Amino acid sequence: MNGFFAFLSKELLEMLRTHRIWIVIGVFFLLGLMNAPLANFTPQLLELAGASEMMGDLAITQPTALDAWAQFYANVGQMGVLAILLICGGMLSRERSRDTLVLPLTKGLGRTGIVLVKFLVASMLWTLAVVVATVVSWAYTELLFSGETVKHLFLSVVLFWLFGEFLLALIPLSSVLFKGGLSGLIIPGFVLFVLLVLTAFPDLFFWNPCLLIVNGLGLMDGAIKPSEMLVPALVAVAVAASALVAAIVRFKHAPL
Amino acid sequence: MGLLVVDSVSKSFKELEVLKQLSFEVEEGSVFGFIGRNGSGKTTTMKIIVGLLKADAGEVYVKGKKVVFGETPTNKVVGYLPDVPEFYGFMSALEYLHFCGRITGMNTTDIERKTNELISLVGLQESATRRIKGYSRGMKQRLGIAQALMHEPTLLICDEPTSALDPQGRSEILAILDEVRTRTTVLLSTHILADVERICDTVGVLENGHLVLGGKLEEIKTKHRRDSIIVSFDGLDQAALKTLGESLRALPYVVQLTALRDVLRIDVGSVQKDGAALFSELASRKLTVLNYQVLEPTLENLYMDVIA
Ligand SMILES: Nc1ncnc2c1ncn2[C@@H]1O[C@H](COP(=O)(O)OP(=O)(O)O)[C@@H](O)[C@H]1O
Ligand SMILES: [Mg+2]
Repeated sequence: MNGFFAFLSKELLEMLRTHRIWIVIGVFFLLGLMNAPLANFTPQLLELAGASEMMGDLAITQPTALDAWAQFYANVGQMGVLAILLICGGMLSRERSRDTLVLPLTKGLGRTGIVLVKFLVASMLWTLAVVVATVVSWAYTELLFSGETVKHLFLSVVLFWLFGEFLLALIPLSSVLFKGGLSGLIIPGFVLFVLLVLTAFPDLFFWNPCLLIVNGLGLMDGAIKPSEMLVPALVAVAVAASALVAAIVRFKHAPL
Repeated sequence: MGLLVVDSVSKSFKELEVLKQLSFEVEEGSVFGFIGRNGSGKTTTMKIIVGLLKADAGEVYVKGKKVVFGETPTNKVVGYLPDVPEFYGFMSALEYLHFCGRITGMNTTDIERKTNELISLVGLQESATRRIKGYSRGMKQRLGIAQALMHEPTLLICDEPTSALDPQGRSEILAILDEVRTRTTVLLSTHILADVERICDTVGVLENGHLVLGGKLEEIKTKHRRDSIIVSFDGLDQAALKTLGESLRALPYVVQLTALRDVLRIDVGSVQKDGAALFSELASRKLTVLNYQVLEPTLENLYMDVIA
């Protein structure tokens, strides 16, 4: 337990000193900020581009709050997820390849603690990221589309957060199975890619955790029922937990 | 039983057999010089002792307790300085030592006391609050010793602590180790024999995966004494020296005689027995002896002999 808290405070200090926390806040502030205005001005932009003539009778509809949340999923959902993976992907593999764990390990720091702290810190960053992006996005949407509401906003964001947690939980396993400073990104990258491809068949792969993010907008406009998200959510939790356990077991038997 | 017992340890990397049934012991209170060429397996051995590597066969005991790979309880009494210690560059030396103290479960008062003591022991007072990122090799090596001593280990293991340093840095590290030897047993690996002669009292030479020479340095030197005497004379030119050599060679107790430029190297059966006879022989010939010296075996010579 001593080691766990010592290592956790080391991680928090590192987060501050390497400015990682400010990078996360900055990036996700911007990603949250762009959604409402993008939704608001897209029709005008299309008009400028002469899209209305091409679309004939189909008049460009007035933008709504839902359009702003569609932008949220496009921006935070894509760039944001990639950003958090890049920021956290090296958290364990970099320490392994730089040998900075040798001294703490020989001092009695437990390997279980290392894996758990690394995941905990990534989780904290991701939670912060989602909170910042959501609050900024929500506030700006309120400003531009006041009075409009979307369904299940809180639930949608929580499920979105869960998907990020799911990917982050794969990083430790990837870092102990492969060598090199960026090895932590191999499994999450591969899994993300495969699951994204599988979202083309939502009926066949109804358990796909990627649906947590892909169906978020459907949840907000009522096309998708919350109950449909249950299985993907459970799968995400189960896989994440197994990946963490596997990482711990493997790490205990791996030479550094 | 020694403080550290390495018992028939073998280790291979793929086809490469690095350690072949390596056995040795380090006695409590000694400074053990673990000598070997680059690539002979010193680092591998030390990593096995601190549980960072798994031996293919054999066992290691620290204070009678078996070392296990992975999470290693025996490390509670071991301090380890790896060949290239890697720290967190965003921390200062003070912060790093606090971090180490907390991992080992020390309380805040002890951490404060020990940190201050060690910072001054290794001479890092001026830079203690600076980020480690900007430290030189020598400073990192000194911080490495400090972190290894944080929890007052019974056994301090240093992997080539002086190899990458300039003469001044080397000297500083050796001085620190010399000071530390009074409170902890030291196992240090090196390929620099002069360092061993300076601070070690026990040595082990690793070659081909096992110890080819080991024991107390003094005993080894005595055992391998060659019984050679070097003599030089005043007023003898090379030709005269040669003639003198020829006649001395005929003496019954002279085993071998070599003329080296302006000195004679005379190997006798035993310095104790024949030294005096040789000395009076030289005196009776009315020669002015400038220098008469019993050749001390150096570690260098011994090393060359055992690995030859
Ligand atoms: N992880 C490893 N994988 C493969 N070979 C290794 C590994 N570690 C060390 N070796 C090899 O084992 C031998 C001994 O290495 P080492 O113990 O570092 O020697 P020393 O410390 O005496 O210089 C060397 O030939 C080295 O190349
Ligand atoms: Mg080495």
